Amino acid sequence: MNRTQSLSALALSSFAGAALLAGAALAHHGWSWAEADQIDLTGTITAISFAPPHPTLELETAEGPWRIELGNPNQTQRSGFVEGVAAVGDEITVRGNRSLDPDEKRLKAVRVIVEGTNYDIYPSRIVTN
Amino acid sequence: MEWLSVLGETSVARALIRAPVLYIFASAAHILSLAMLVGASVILDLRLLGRFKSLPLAETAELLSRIAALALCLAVLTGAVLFSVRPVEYAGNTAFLIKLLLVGLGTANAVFVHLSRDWAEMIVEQQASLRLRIGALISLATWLSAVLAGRWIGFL
Repeated sequence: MNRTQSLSALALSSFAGAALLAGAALAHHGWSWAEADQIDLTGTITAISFAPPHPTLELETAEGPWRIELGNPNQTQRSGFVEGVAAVGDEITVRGNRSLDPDEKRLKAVRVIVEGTNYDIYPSRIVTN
Repeated sequence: MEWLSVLGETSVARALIRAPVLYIFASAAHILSLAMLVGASVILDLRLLGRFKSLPLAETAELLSRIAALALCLAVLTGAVLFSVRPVEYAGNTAFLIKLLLVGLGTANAVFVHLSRDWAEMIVEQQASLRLRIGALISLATWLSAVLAGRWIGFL
């Protein structure tokens, strides 16, 4: 290899190395990070955002603050859980799958319950007892 | 941080939150800009480093650098729109901040190289100096790393 070839090979291989490291980062997309069993969480909304790419809300519960991840913006809208249904200060219940990491208070929601009304974000995933 | 949350209430941000389909268009436009920017930059950098010798150096450099500059403007514009929907969250995202730094470095490097005497001589002499080739390496490293950092944003 001449000098310029070795230089471009070096640049490309360092990028490949960085790309391998990226594979180690575990995504919070999908369900791979969450437990199979579902739990119900009741608490007061402290923050709510319908902004893409992932609508989220923060819930203050008896066991501290939780971060709730909803569906993608369209799935969340189709469930009927849209802006105005619930606001900061409202008490709601959320059913979903909690993070595999027991120290991480993060839940992937399948259903949101506001004043007795169910908003089913992932109808086919909801496990009923 | 207060001015950032105000950004999330602008009409552009509100429209994207109300109609997620607009977000899809903005996101696709951002990806298209990146493809143009990185595509043009990588080919030009490799040409400066001695690959694809059948391409005339001066013409290739002038065309691809112009495409890259236009694509960078589009990427910044569409990126600002995407940023506006969750400004406070992105501003606290380490991968996003690293990406901004890399984009700044890449842009500064491109402007510096483009305005250098080496660039003007390359256009006339059809020959890339060592400094231009070092610039090409910096360009490859910063833009490819910026793509990586950008993809990392959603995984923190």
